[in-house]
Amino acid sequence: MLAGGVTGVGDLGPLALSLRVASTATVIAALFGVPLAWLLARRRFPGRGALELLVLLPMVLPPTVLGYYLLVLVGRPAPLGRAVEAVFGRPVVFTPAAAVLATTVAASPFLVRAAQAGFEGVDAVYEDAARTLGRSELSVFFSVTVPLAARGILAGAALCFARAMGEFGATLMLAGNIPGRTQTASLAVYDAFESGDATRAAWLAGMLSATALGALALLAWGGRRAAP
Amino acid sequence: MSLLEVTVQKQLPDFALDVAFVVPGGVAAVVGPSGAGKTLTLRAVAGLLRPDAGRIACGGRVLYDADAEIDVPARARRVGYVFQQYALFPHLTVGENVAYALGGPGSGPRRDRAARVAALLALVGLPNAERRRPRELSGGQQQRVALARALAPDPALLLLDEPLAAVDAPLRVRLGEELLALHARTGVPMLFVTHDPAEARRVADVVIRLEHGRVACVE
Repeated sequence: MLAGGVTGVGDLGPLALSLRVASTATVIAALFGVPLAWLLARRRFPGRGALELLVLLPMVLPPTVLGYYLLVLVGRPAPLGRAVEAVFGRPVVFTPAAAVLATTVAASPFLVRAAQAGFEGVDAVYEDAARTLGRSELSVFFSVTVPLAARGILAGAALCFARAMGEFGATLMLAGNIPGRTQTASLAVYDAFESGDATRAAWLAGMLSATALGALALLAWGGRRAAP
Repeated sequence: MSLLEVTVQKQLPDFALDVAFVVPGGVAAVVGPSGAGKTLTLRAVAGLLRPDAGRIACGGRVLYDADAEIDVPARARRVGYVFQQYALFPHLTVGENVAYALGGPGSGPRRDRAARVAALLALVGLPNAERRRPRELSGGQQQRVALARALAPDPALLLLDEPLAAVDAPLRVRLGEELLALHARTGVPMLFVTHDPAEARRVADVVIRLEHGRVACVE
Protein backbone atom coordinates (compact mmCIF):
# COMPACT_ATOMS: atom_id res chain seq x y z
CA MET A 1 0.00 0.00 0.00
CA LEU A 2 2.90 2.33 0.65
CA ALA A 3 4.37 1.75 -2.81
CA GLY A 4 2.67 4.74 -4.36
CA GLY A 5 5.27 4.99 -7.08
CA VAL A 6 6.94 8.11 -8.38
CA THR A 7 4.50 10.75 -9.49
CA GLY A 8 5.24 14.21 -10.83
CA VAL A 9 6.49 16.84 -8.41
CA GLY A 10 3.65 19.09 -9.52
CA ASP A 11 0.86 16.60 -8.73
CA LEU A 12 -1.55 18.63 -6.63
CA GLY A 13 -3.89 15.69 -5.91
CA PRO A 14 -2.75 14.84 -2.35
CA LEU A 15 -2.56 18.50 -1.37
CA ALA A 16 -6.04 19.22 -2.73
CA LEU A 17 -7.37 16.16 -0.89
CA SER A 18 -5.68 17.30 2.33
CA LEU A 19 -7.21 20.77 2.03
CA ARG A 20 -10.63 19.25 1.32
CA VAL A 21 -10.41 16.73 4.17
CA ALA A 22 -9.04 19.28 6.66
CA SER A 23 -11.66 21.93 5.76
CA THR A 24 -14.52 19.45 6.02
CA ALA A 25 -13.18 18.11 9.31
CA THR A 26 -12.85 21.66 10.71
CA VAL A 27 -16.42 22.56 9.69
CA ILE A 28 -17.80 19.35 11.23
CA ALA A 29 -15.68 19.91 14.36
CA ALA A 30 -17.05 23.47 14.65
CA LEU A 31 -20.66 22.34 14.20
CA PHE A 32 -20.54 19.94 17.14
CA GLY A 33 -17.48 21.31 18.95
CA VAL A 34 -18.70 24.87 19.57
CA PRO A 35 -21.96 23.82 21.31
CA LEU A 36 -20.02 21.11 23.16
CA ALA A 37 -17.42 23.64 24.30
CA TRP A 38 -20.21 25.94 25.54
CA LEU A 39 -21.80 23.03 27.40
CA LEU A 40 -18.51 22.18 29.12
CA ALA A 41 -17.80 25.83 29.94
CA ARG A 42 -21.22 26.86 31.17
CA ARG A 43 -23.21 23.89 32.46
CA ARG A 44 -22.76 21.57 35.41
CA PHE A 45 -24.29 18.14 34.82
CA PRO A 46 -23.62 14.54 35.84
CA GLY A 47 -20.94 12.98 33.67
CA ARG A 48 -19.44 16.32 32.73
CA GLY A 49 -15.99 15.27 33.92
CA ALA A 50 -16.17 12.03 31.95
CA LEU A 51 -17.30 13.90 28.83
CA GLU A 52 -14.41 16.34 29.18
CA LEU A 53 -11.95 13.43 29.40
CA LEU A 54 -13.54 11.72 26.39
CA VAL A 55 -13.18 14.95 24.38
CA LEU A 56 -9.49 15.19 25.30
CA LEU A 57 -8.70 11.51 24.74
CA PRO A 58 -7.85 11.84 21.02
CA MET A 59 -5.24 14.46 21.97
CA VAL A 60 -3.26 12.06 24.13
CA LEU A 61 -3.82 8.73 22.39
CA PRO A 62 -1.32 7.68 19.72
CA PRO A 63 -3.07 8.43 16.40
CA THR A 64 -2.63 4.82 15.26
CA VAL A 65 -4.42 3.65 18.40
CA LEU A 66 -7.17 6.15 17.67
CA GLY A 67 -7.40 4.74 14.15
CA TYR A 68 -7.51 1.22 15.57
CA TYR A 69 -10.47 2.12 17.81
CA LEU A 70 -12.27 3.75 14.90
CA LEU A 71 -11.68 0.58 12.86
CA VAL A 72 -13.15 -1.48 15.69
CA LEU A 73 -16.11 0.89 15.74
CA VAL A 74 -16.93 1.38 12.04
CA GLY A 75 -14.88 -1.37 10.33
CA ARG A 76 -16.69 -3.81 8.07
CA PRO A 77 -17.34 -6.44 10.78
CA ALA A 78 -18.57 -3.89 13.35
CA PRO A 79 -22.33 -3.34 13.77
CA LEU A 80 -21.96 0.37 12.94
CA GLY A 81 -19.81 -0.46 9.91
CA ARG A 82 -22.38 -3.00 8.70
CA ALA A 83 -25.17 -0.46 9.15
CA VAL A 84 -23.31 2.14 7.07
CA GLU A 85 -22.63 -0.47 4.39
CA ALA A 86 -26.33 -1.41 4.33
CA VAL A 87 -27.42 2.20 3.93
CA PHE A 88 -24.82 3.46 1.45
CA GLY A 89 -24.10 0.19 -0.30
CA ARG A 90 -20.37 0.36 0.42
CA PRO A 91 -18.13 0.29 3.46
CA VAL A 92 -16.77 3.49 4.99
CA VAL A 93 -13.24 2.22 5.48
CA PHE A 94 -10.62 3.11 2.84
CA THR A 95 -12.72 5.98 1.45
CA PRO A 96 -12.21 9.78 1.56
CA ALA A 97 -15.12 9.83 4.05
CA ALA A 98 -13.05 7.61 6.35
CA ALA A 99 -10.19 10.12 6.06
CA VAL A 100 -12.59 12.89 7.08
CA LEU A 101 -13.88 10.80 10.01
CA ALA A 102 -10.40 9.95 11.29
CA THR A 103 -9.20 13.54 10.84
CA THR A 104 -12.26 15.02 12.56
CA VAL A 105 -11.84 12.77 15.60
CA ALA A 106 -8.10 13.45 15.80
CA ALA A 107 -8.28 17.23 15.29
CA SER A 108 -11.55 18.35 16.93
CA PRO A 109 -10.21 18.31 20.54
CA PHE A 110 -8.03 21.28 19.64
CA LEU A 111 -11.11 23.26 18.62
CA VAL A 112 -13.15 22.20 21.66
CA ARG A 113 -10.32 23.05 24.08
CA ALA A 114 -9.72 26.55 22.71
CA ALA A 115 -13.43 27.32 22.28
CA GLN A 116 -14.13 26.15 25.83
CA ALA A 117 -11.43 28.49 27.14
CA GLY A 118 -13.00 31.23 25.02
CA PHE A 119 -16.45 30.64 26.52
CA GLU A 120 -15.03 30.47 30.04
CA GLY A 121 -13.52 33.90 29.47
CA VAL A 122 -16.91 35.48 28.71
CA ASP A 123 -18.22 37.29 31.81
CA ALA A 124 -21.74 35.98 32.48
CA VAL A 125 -22.88 39.53 33.27
CA TYR A 126 -23.07 40.28 29.53
CA GLU A 127 -25.41 37.33 29.02
CA ASP A 128 -27.52 38.46 32.00
CA ALA A 129 -27.69 41.96 30.51
CA ALA A 130 -28.90 40.54 27.20
CA ARG A 131 -31.57 38.51 29.01
CA THR A 132 -32.93 41.57 30.83
CA LEU A 133 -33.01 43.34 27.45
CA GLY A 134 -35.55 40.85 26.17
CA ARG A 135 -33.41 38.31 24.32
CA SER A 136 -34.06 34.57 24.21
CA GLU A 137 -31.33 32.12 25.23
CA LEU A 138 -30.57 31.32 21.57
CA SER A 139 -30.35 35.01 20.70
CA VAL A 140 -28.09 35.65 23.71
CA PHE A 141 -25.81 32.83 22.55
CA PHE A 142 -25.39 34.10 19.00
CA SER A 143 -25.42 37.87 19.63
CA VAL A 144 -23.33 38.02 22.82
CA THR A 145 -21.68 34.75 23.85
CA VAL A 146 -20.23 33.69 20.48
CA PRO A 147 -18.90 37.15 19.48
CA LEU A 148 -17.23 37.55 22.86
CA ALA A 149 -15.73 34.04 22.63
CA ALA A 150 -14.81 34.53 18.96
CA ARG A 151 -11.09 34.78 19.65
CA GLY A 152 -11.01 31.36 21.32
CA ILE A 153 -13.27 29.79 18.71
CA LEU A 154 -11.14 31.13 15.83
CA ALA A 155 -7.92 30.02 17.53
CA GLY A 156 -9.47 26.58 17.99
CA ALA A 157 -10.56 26.39 14.36
CA ALA A 158 -7.06 27.36 13.16
CA LEU A 159 -5.36 24.81 15.43
CA CYS A 160 -7.90 22.16 14.42
CA PHE A 161 -7.27 22.87 10.74
CA ALA A 162 -3.49 22.75 11.21
CA ARG A 163 -3.72 19.46 13.09
CA ALA A 164 -6.08 18.12 10.42
CA MET A 165 -3.61 18.97 7.65
CA GLY A 166 -0.96 16.99 9.49
CA GLU A 167 -3.13 13.99 10.35
CA PHE A 168 -1.27 10.78 9.53
CA GLY A 169 -1.73 7.80 11.83
CA ALA A 170 -5.48 7.59 12.28
CA THR A 171 -6.08 8.34 8.59
CA LEU A 172 -3.62 5.66 7.55
CA MET A 173 -5.41 3.09 9.74
CA LEU A 174 -8.96 3.94 8.71
CA ALA A 175 -8.63 5.29 5.15
CA GLY A 176 -5.41 3.68 3.99
CA ASN A 177 -2.94 5.31 1.65
CA ILE A 178 -4.54 4.92 -1.77
CA PRO A 179 -2.99 7.35 -4.30
CA GLY A 180 -5.63 9.49 -5.92
CA ARG A 181 -8.26 8.41 -3.42
CA THR A 182 -7.23 8.57 0.23
CA GLN A 183 -3.60 9.61 0.00
CA THR A 184 -3.41 12.98 1.75
CA ALA A 185 -0.36 15.24 1.53
CA SER A 186 1.13 14.13 4.84
CA LEU A 187 0.84 10.49 3.72
CA ALA A 188 2.29 11.42 0.33
CA VAL A 189 5.37 12.98 1.97
CA TYR A 190 6.14 9.67 3.65
CA ASP A 191 5.39 7.77 0.46
CA ALA A 192 7.61 10.00 -1.68
CA PHE A 193 10.46 9.78 0.80
CA GLU A 194 10.14 5.98 1.12
CA SER A 195 10.22 5.55 -2.64
CA GLY A 196 13.32 7.73 -2.94
CA ASP A 197 11.61 10.69 -4.58
CA ALA A 198 13.36 13.34 -2.42
CA THR A 199 12.35 16.24 -4.67
CA ARG A 200 8.66 15.46 -4.35
CA ALA A 201 9.00 14.87 -0.59
CA ALA A 202 10.65 18.27 -0.21
CA TRP A 203 8.02 19.93 -2.39
CA LEU A 204 5.14 18.43 -0.40
CA ALA A 205 6.84 19.26 2.91
CA GLY A 206 7.23 22.86 1.75
CA MET A 207 3.58 23.12 0.72
CA LEU A 208 2.38 21.63 4.02
CA SER A 209 4.61 24.01 5.99
CA ALA A 210 3.27 26.96 4.00
CA THR A 211 -0.31 25.89 4.76
CA ALA A 212 0.48 25.55 8.46
CA LEU A 213 2.08 29.02 8.50
CA GLY A 214 -0.97 30.33 6.64
CA ALA A 215 -3.24 28.90 9.35
CA LEU A 216 -1.11 30.59 12.00
CA ALA A 217 -1.24 33.92 10.15
CA LEU A 218 -5.02 33.61 9.86
CA LEU A 219 -5.11 32.89 13.59
CA ALA A 220 -3.11 36.02 14.43
CA TRP A 221 -5.23 38.15 12.08
CA GLY A 222 -8.48 36.74 13.41
CA GLY A 223 -7.30 37.24 16.99
CA ARG A 224 -6.67 40.91 16.33
CA ARG A 225 -9.98 41.41 14.53
CA ALA A 226 -12.01 39.61 17.19
CA ALA A 227 -10.35 41.46 20.05
CA PRO A 228 -13.21 43.17 21.88
CA MET B 1 -52.09 48.96 44.52
CA SER B 2 -48.35 48.90 45.12
CA LEU B 3 -45.94 48.80 42.26
CA LEU B 4 -43.70 46.03 43.50
CA GLU B 5 -44.40 43.22 45.95
CA VAL B 6 -41.47 41.01 46.83
CA THR B 7 -41.30 37.93 49.03
CA VAL B 8 -38.19 35.89 48.33
CA GLN B 9 -36.46 33.02 50.08
CA LYS B 10 -33.27 31.63 48.66
CA GLN B 11 -30.76 29.31 50.31
CA LEU B 12 -27.24 29.57 48.90
CA PRO B 13 -24.25 27.49 50.05
CA ASP B 14 -23.03 30.21 52.43
CA PHE B 15 -25.90 32.67 52.57
CA ALA B 16 -29.65 32.71 53.23
CA LEU B 17 -31.84 35.37 51.68
CA ASP B 18 -35.26 35.85 53.26
CA VAL B 19 -36.79 39.20 52.37
CA ALA B 20 -40.30 40.61 52.09
CA PHE B 21 -41.14 44.20 51.21
CA VAL B 22 -43.50 46.37 49.21
CA VAL B 23 -42.62 49.38 47.07
CA PRO B 24 -45.53 51.77 46.41
CA GLY B 25 -43.84 53.33 43.35
CA GLY B 26 -41.57 56.26 42.58
CA VAL B 27 -37.95 55.81 43.56
CA ALA B 28 -36.99 53.27 46.22
CA ALA B 29 -33.61 52.32 47.65
CA VAL B 30 -32.28 49.09 49.08
CA VAL B 31 -29.52 49.86 51.58
CA GLY B 32 -27.32 47.75 53.76
CA PRO B 33 -23.70 46.74 54.30
CA SER B 34 -21.96 44.57 51.73
CA GLY B 35 -23.08 40.97 51.97
CA ALA B 36 -26.58 41.95 53.13
CA GLY B 37 -28.22 40.45 50.04
CA LYS B 38 -28.95 43.66 48.13
CA THR B 39 -27.74 42.50 44.74
CA LEU B 40 -29.29 39.03 45.20
CA THR B 41 -32.65 40.71 45.85
CA LEU B 42 -32.31 42.75 42.67
CA ARG B 43 -31.35 39.67 40.68
CA ALA B 44 -34.38 37.79 41.97
CA VAL B 45 -36.67 40.63 40.88
CA ALA B 46 -35.04 40.73 37.43
CA GLY B 47 -35.38 36.96 36.96
CA LEU B 48 -31.63 36.32 37.04
CA LEU B 49 -31.85 34.36 40.31
CA ARG B 50 -34.55 31.77 40.91
CA PRO B 51 -35.87 31.89 44.50
CA ASP B 52 -36.66 28.70 46.41
CA ALA B 53 -39.96 30.14 47.56
CA GLY B 54 -41.93 33.35 47.52
CA ARG B 55 -43.80 35.65 45.20
CA ILE B 56 -42.82 38.64 43.08
CA ALA B 57 -45.37 40.93 41.43
CA CYS B 58 -44.77 44.14 39.52
CA GLY B 59 -47.58 46.49 38.51
CA GLY B 60 -50.13 43.74 39.07
CA ARG B 61 -48.22 41.22 36.90
CA VAL B 62 -47.07 38.12 38.74
CA LEU B 63 -43.41 37.55 37.77
CA TYR B 64 -42.73 34.71 40.16
CA ASP B 65 -44.96 32.60 42.35
CA ALA B 66 -43.51 29.41 43.78
CA ASP B 67 -46.90 28.00 44.82
CA ALA B 68 -48.54 28.72 41.46
CA GLU B 69 -45.35 27.56 39.67
CA ILE B 70 -45.05 30.85 37.81
CA ASP B 71 -41.56 31.94 36.81
CA VAL B 72 -41.54 34.53 34.04
CA PRO B 73 -38.12 34.46 32.31
CA ALA B 74 -35.94 37.58 32.59
CA ARG B 75 -36.50 38.45 28.92
CA ALA B 76 -40.28 38.77 29.42
CA ARG B 77 -40.35 40.58 32.79
CA ARG B 78 -40.02 44.13 31.41
CA VAL B 79 -37.64 44.85 34.27
CA GLY B 80 -34.61 46.92 33.25
CA TYR B 81 -31.28 46.35 34.99
CA VAL B 82 -28.28 48.68 35.22
CA PHE B 83 -25.40 46.50 36.38
CA GLN B 84 -22.79 47.76 38.78
CA GLN B 85 -20.06 47.46 36.15
CA TYR B 86 -22.56 48.57 33.48
CA ALA B 87 -22.01 45.44 31.33
CA LEU B 88 -21.95 47.33 28.05
CA PHE B 89 -21.26 44.87 25.23
CA PRO B 90 -17.60 45.45 24.38
CA HIS B 91 -18.00 44.15 20.82
CA LEU B 92 -20.67 46.73 19.96
CA THR B 93 -20.59 50.52 19.62
CA VAL B 94 -22.57 52.73 21.98
CA GLY B 95 -25.35 53.07 19.38
CA GLU B 96 -25.41 49.31 18.80
CA ASN B 97 -25.59 48.70 22.54
CA VAL B 98 -28.74 50.81 22.82
CA ALA B 99 -30.21 49.46 19.56
CA TYR B 100 -29.62 45.92 20.87
CA ALA B 101 -32.30 46.58 23.49
CA LEU B 102 -34.80 47.54 20.77
CA GLY B 103 -34.79 43.96 19.49
CA GLY B 104 -32.91 42.15 16.77
CA PRO B 105 -32.63 43.32 13.16
CA GLY B 106 -36.03 43.30 11.52
CA SER B 107 -37.82 44.83 14.49
CA GLY B 108 -38.85 48.07 12.87
CA PRO B 109 -37.32 50.20 10.11
CA ARG B 110 -33.67 51.14 10.51
CA ARG B 111 -34.41 54.88 10.46
CA ASP B 112 -36.94 54.58 13.31
CA ARG B 113 -34.45 52.57 15.37
CA ALA B 114 -31.69 55.13 14.75
CA ALA B 115 -34.01 57.96 15.79
CA ARG B 116 -34.99 56.09 18.94
CA VAL B 117 -31.34 55.43 19.82
CA ALA B 118 -30.52 59.12 19.29
CA ALA B 119 -33.45 60.19 21.49
CA LEU B 120 -32.41 57.80 24.29
CA LEU B 121 -28.79 58.98 24.21
CA ALA B 122 -29.98 62.60 24.30
CA LEU B 123 -32.21 61.73 27.26
CA VAL B 124 -29.23 60.59 29.32
CA GLY B 125 -27.09 63.53 28.24
CA LEU B 126 -24.84 61.77 25.73
CA PRO B 127 -26.04 63.00 22.34
CA ASN B 128 -24.16 61.90 19.22
CA ALA B 129 -22.20 59.19 21.03
CA GLU B 130 -23.47 56.39 18.74
CA ARG B 131 -20.19 55.59 17.04
CA ARG B 132 -18.02 55.51 20.13
CA ARG B 133 -16.82 52.32 21.75
CA PRO B 134 -17.71 51.56 25.40
CA ARG B 135 -14.02 51.30 26.36
CA GLU B 136 -13.40 54.87 25.14
CA LEU B 137 -15.93 56.24 27.66
CA SER B 138 -15.45 57.25 31.30
CA GLY B 139 -17.27 55.30 34.01
CA GLY B 140 -19.92 57.97 34.30
CA GLN B 141 -20.50 58.00 30.54
CA GLN B 142 -20.70 54.20 30.46
CA GLN B 143 -23.35 54.38 33.13
CA ARG B 144 -25.40 56.81 31.04
CA VAL B 145 -25.23 54.43 28.10
CA ALA B 146 -26.28 51.58 30.38
CA LEU B 147 -29.24 53.71 31.52
CA ALA B 148 -30.24 54.51 27.94
CA ARG B 149 -29.97 50.82 27.02
CA ALA B 150 -32.01 49.69 30.03
CA LEU B 151 -34.73 52.26 29.27
CA ALA B 152 -34.89 51.37 25.57
CA PRO B 153 -37.32 48.42 25.85
CA ASP B 154 -39.71 50.65 27.87
CA PRO B 155 -39.42 48.76 31.18
CA ALA B 156 -42.12 48.75 33.86
CA LEU B 157 -39.42 49.01 36.51
CA LEU B 158 -35.74 49.93 36.45
CA LEU B 159 -33.27 48.25 38.81
CA LEU B 160 -29.91 49.88 39.43
CA ASP B 161 -27.08 48.14 41.28
CA GLU B 162 -24.88 50.70 43.10
CA PRO B 163 -25.37 53.36 40.42
CA LEU B 164 -23.52 55.97 42.46
CA ALA B 165 -20.71 53.86 43.90
CA ALA B 166 -18.09 54.41 41.22
CA VAL B 167 -17.91 58.21 41.45
CA ASP B 168 -16.61 60.61 44.11
CA ALA B 169 -18.87 62.44 46.57
CA PRO B 170 -19.64 65.75 44.76
CA LEU B 171 -20.39 63.98 41.50
CA ARG B 172 -22.47 61.45 43.42
CA VAL B 173 -24.86 64.16 44.59
CA ARG B 174 -25.23 65.42 41.03
CA LEU B 175 -25.75 61.93 39.63
CA GLY B 176 -28.41 61.29 42.27
CA GLU B 177 -30.22 64.42 41.15
CA GLU B 178 -29.89 63.38 37.51
CA LEU B 179 -31.38 60.02 38.36
CA LEU B 180 -34.37 61.74 39.96
CA ALA B 181 -34.71 64.01 36.91
CA LEU B 182 -34.59 60.98 34.64
CA HIS B 183 -37.31 59.37 36.73
CA ALA B 184 -39.41 62.53 36.46
CA ARG B 185 -38.99 62.66 32.67
CA THR B 186 -39.60 58.98 31.93
CA GLY B 187 -42.00 58.07 34.73
CA VAL B 188 -40.25 54.70 35.06
CA PRO B 189 -40.20 53.57 38.71
CA MET B 190 -36.72 52.86 40.04
CA LEU B 191 -35.31 50.58 42.68
CA PHE B 192 -31.63 51.16 43.37
CA VAL B 193 -29.06 49.58 45.63
CA THR B 194 -26.60 51.54 47.72
CA HIS B 195 -24.54 51.03 50.85
CA ASP B 196 -24.83 54.73 51.78
CA PRO B 197 -27.93 55.42 53.99
CA ALA B 198 -27.64 59.22 53.64
CA GLU B 199 -27.66 58.92 49.87
CA ALA B 200 -30.62 56.56 50.01
CA ARG B 201 -32.64 59.02 52.09
CA ARG B 202 -31.68 61.91 49.83
CA VAL B 203 -32.76 60.25 46.59
CA ALA B 204 -35.46 57.71 47.46
CA ASP B 205 -39.08 57.95 48.62
CA VAL B 206 -38.85 54.56 50.30
CA VAL B 207 -35.74 53.06 51.90
CA ILE B 208 -35.56 49.32 52.53
CA ARG B 209 -32.78 48.38 54.89
CA LEU B 210 -31.30 44.86 54.57
CA GLU B 211 -29.07 43.13 57.10
CA HIS B 212 -27.81 39.54 56.90
CA GLY B 213 -30.27 38.65 54.17
CA ARG B 214 -33.33 40.01 55.99
CA VAL B 215 -35.28 43.27 55.95
CA ALA B 216 -34.25 45.21 59.06
CA CYS B 217 -36.64 48.10 58.49
CA VAL B 218 -38.53 50.08 55.87
CA GLU B 219 -38.59 53.90 56.11
